[in-house]
Amino acid sequence: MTRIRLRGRDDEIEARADETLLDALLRGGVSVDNSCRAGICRSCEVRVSAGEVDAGTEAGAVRDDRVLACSVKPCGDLVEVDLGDAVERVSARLVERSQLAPTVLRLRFHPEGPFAFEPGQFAMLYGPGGRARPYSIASQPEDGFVELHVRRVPEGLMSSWLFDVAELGAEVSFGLPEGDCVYRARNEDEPLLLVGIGTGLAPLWGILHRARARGHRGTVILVQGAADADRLYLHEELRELASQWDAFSYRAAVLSGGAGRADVVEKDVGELAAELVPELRGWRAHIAGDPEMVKRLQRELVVAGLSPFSVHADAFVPAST
Amino acid sequence: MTSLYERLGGADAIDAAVEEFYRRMLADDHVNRFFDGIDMTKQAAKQKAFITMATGGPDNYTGLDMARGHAHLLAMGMDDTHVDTVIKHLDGTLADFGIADDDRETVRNKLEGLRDAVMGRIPGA
Repeated sequence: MTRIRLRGRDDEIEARADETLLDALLRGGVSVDNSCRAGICRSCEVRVSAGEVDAGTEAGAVRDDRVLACSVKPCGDLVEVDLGDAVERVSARLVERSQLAPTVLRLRFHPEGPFAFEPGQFAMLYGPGGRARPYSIASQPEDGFVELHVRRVPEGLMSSWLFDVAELGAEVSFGLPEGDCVYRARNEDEPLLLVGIGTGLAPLWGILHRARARGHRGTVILVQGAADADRLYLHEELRELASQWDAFSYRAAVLSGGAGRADVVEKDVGELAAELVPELRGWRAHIAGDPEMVKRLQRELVVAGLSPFSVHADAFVPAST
Repeated sequence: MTSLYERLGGADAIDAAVEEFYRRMLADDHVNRFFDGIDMTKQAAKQKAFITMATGGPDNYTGLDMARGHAHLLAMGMDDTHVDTVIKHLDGTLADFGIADDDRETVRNKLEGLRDAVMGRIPGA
């Protein structure tokens, strides 16, 4: 039996056998930000100031004394958790908002402190009332703002607030940017395939512009996938970019509503990608968005010849509650 | 006598073998669900260590590592038939790379020797 103590408090929680640190804390009535509960979103990161935790095979769940509470189990007699400065955050204000599609908002935030990131990384966005969700960053560091593409999720706590309540000037904060879904071509000639499902386009928009700024010369193909043509966004901007940048081409795949629209076909996004790049050997691919689609696509692309060393997946895991 | 690892061509050739092995595993509906949602580049690195070990290259694997590294797969329903599939695909991959059967038998035996550890049947591991 492991006891869990909160640093600076007297009360203790007794962890049950096989219980994660997060479950034990929540059961004990301790408020801890959390979202995916799968070790991906990192919203439940806490500091362990004494004692030990078992991360099993999830080596990434422990970084020095910071652990992902959802992915570790307390062990030993006593584990002390410090929630005080568990996460470093940077305050930011909403400075711009526009509608990219009926269900997608483009939001730009001005950080009120140093906020270093690579385009395509994600960061936790903290809103009022304990709201916390990770979002990918679509902007470039030199833009001076942090741009997110937010999809309205039915009954989503964060997206409802962002769509319906948050006004310009609204105060939020960001956690530290993370993730390796960033521009990482071995050289400027390596061909890149970017496949974004829904707002999976956000990190790819960041990577695409990074590639251009870095003078990428190899072929770059971006495929946007959506259930319905109404959900495509930045479509005209991407077509425009393709007309100006020789190495870049862009297509969209939708399941319905695509008839008659330029550069849109009605078919599976994976099929379209395979048509555009019949020989994937030597390519690097980034796939982002809906986790089921991302899983399927990375499997299909590797089976079709892409090296598993060259595929980068960014699965947008939904909140568990 | 040099190890199969060296005769294959060392680390660079192993990369190519990993790609082929991984492709076979992902294309096989009997085992590909175990690879759902994992980071492929990290997994490919693990498979490189695995194939390096299996072919007699430099490795730091222990039975305990094998047990720990697969405990979550046991929880997902991994059984001996899945281990069979791993051995089959590694064997097929090596055959593709022109490795003769006596060498492949050595590899198969080596993997058989790890089966109980992987399946969590070694007490204390």
